[in-house]
Amino acid sequence: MRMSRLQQVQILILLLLLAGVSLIFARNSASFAAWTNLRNILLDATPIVVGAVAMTFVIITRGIDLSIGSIANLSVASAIMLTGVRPEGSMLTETGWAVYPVALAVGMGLGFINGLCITVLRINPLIATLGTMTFYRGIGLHLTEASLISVQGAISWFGRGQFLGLGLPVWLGIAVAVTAAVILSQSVSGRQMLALGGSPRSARETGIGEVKIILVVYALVGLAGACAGLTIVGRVGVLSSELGSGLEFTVITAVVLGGTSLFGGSGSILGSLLGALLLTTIQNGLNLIGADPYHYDVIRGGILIAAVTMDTLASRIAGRTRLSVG
Amino acid sequence: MMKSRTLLACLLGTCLIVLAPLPTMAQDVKIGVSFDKVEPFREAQKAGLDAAIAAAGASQSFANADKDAQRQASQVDSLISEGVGAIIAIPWDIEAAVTIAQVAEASGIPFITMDQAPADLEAVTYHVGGDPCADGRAAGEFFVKVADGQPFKLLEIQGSLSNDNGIRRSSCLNEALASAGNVSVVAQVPTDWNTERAMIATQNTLQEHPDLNGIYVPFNDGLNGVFSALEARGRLKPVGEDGHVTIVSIDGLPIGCKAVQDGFLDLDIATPIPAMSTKAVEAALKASAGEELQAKAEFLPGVPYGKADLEAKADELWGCK
Repeated sequence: MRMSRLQQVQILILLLLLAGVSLIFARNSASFAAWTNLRNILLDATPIVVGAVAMTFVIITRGIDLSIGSIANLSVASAIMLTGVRPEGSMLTETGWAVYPVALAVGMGLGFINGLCITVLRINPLIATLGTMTFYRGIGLHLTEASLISVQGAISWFGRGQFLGLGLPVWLGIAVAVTAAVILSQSVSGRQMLALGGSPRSARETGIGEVKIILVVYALVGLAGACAGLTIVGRVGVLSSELGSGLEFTVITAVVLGGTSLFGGSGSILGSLLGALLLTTIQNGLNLIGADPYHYDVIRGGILIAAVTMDTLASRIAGRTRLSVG
Repeated sequence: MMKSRTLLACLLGTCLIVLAPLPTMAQDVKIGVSFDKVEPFREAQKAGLDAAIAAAGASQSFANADKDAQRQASQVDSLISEGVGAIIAIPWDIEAAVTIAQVAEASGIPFITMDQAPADLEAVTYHVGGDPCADGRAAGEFFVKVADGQPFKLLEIQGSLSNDNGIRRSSCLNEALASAGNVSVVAQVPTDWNTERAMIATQNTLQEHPDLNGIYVPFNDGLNGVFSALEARGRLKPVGEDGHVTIVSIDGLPIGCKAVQDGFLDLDIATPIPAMSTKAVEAALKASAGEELQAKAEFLPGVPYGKADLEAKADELWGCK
């Protein structure tokens, strides 16, 4: 399926914004355009990219998942508590390879529970995931007793590993984005997600398995949350009670920046990827140019408003307002 | 294996017994404790209060507002309805704390704030906290001393800019640095007390300033992130080794103490949690008994310690026990 004209305009706007802020930062910082810094940007963006890609599927189907940050926390916390070993008298918890499958399985399971709340219990996605956001974080805090857990061993392999000059998480981000883009644009499942988001009633009448699709997309967000959590803890070397805090808003911002409609039925993986890169580039550039700390939120918020305004204008010009969907 | 919270409570309890015996008039008093959030430092404060309340023979009812001022207000209402004798709160929102305090006082319940000062100290019965300004200033003076008149590039990691501790730990650091023209703060990065953001801030600043000399980390939780970024650039070297980056942190958590012991953290400033907890509980019990308090507010400066001080200051370093 080819991108619509509107999506092409949205992608163009994002690319221009990304190029514009990059130029500004490059003019003000000698090291912004250095390869090592670009590598850092890609690595820092990975948890947001992975989360945003999965969140795109959810938002396309008219849903939202506020619990991704809490899933990142709980999935990694439970994997470390279940598989890690802390020798008596040591402050370091040694992790083995089992931490990966356990975290991913827990993450997927938590996402699946979100899907069940929405499909079986018929709870609005916003309310359901608002509830599980608090619930999952509460369990995570209980498991770790809100303490800092320093970790080493296998969990660091992924977060700190390199392949062909790029961090392993970056390769994961690329693989996830490419696979998701192919699924959304080329597969039957992708078309079903778009149809379900565009008009749930029509989708049901044509026999599209609504429950199955919703369960799968929320489980994918859970899986993405676990990947994000593993990446962060692998890099930082510590499991903190703040892990994943605020991730949901960054991820949703990236998706909205990328042009995915909050009303469902349209969206683009490439847009979400660029949205995540734009947010990370701004953070990185502000740091490099030594910006006033009080300007960070102002600039981030301003760029979000600018992007959404341009997107709205583009929609009007294309004669297709978002409200006409569904 | 003993749970870490229990262990921490035992350690803080020992400190309390050493530091200040509490009055024993509290047999039937229940103290309402309202926290703004739970995280490692708050866990240490909770353990301190648990120990102080138990030492006084009182009981408690605990509530966590989870970073929500409205929730904290509701929880305080519930504590008042429950009939607690006094409330000790760590406010999430320093402005909202004033209203919450007024509601408690109107119900005849003494309202004590701990750690985070409310916007108006007159509104509360008593406040006891660390002295974020003194701690920030001590950190600044340490950097000036280490720089010794030579050019010195410093990264200032910031906590939260909407929080009294975050703001004053930053502003007073900069006040102390103002007189030293050789120390330049090359980046100030707000992190909202988040370890990952501290790592990214360090990583990015090292990109622009590979010859960075010092990092100010005003919360121990951020240390792992900073060390991780330094290690990735080959700059994680112990104190005294060529290329070492001077690091000063605040809190006094076990993770901070370990970093000092391992030689990667030059100076940690330990918040005196046992003394703070004792004073808060003491004030709560006195006020609930109708006794007058000697002071309206007390600010306790942290205990600065490096590797050389570990033995001499052992009694005050609760995170090292």
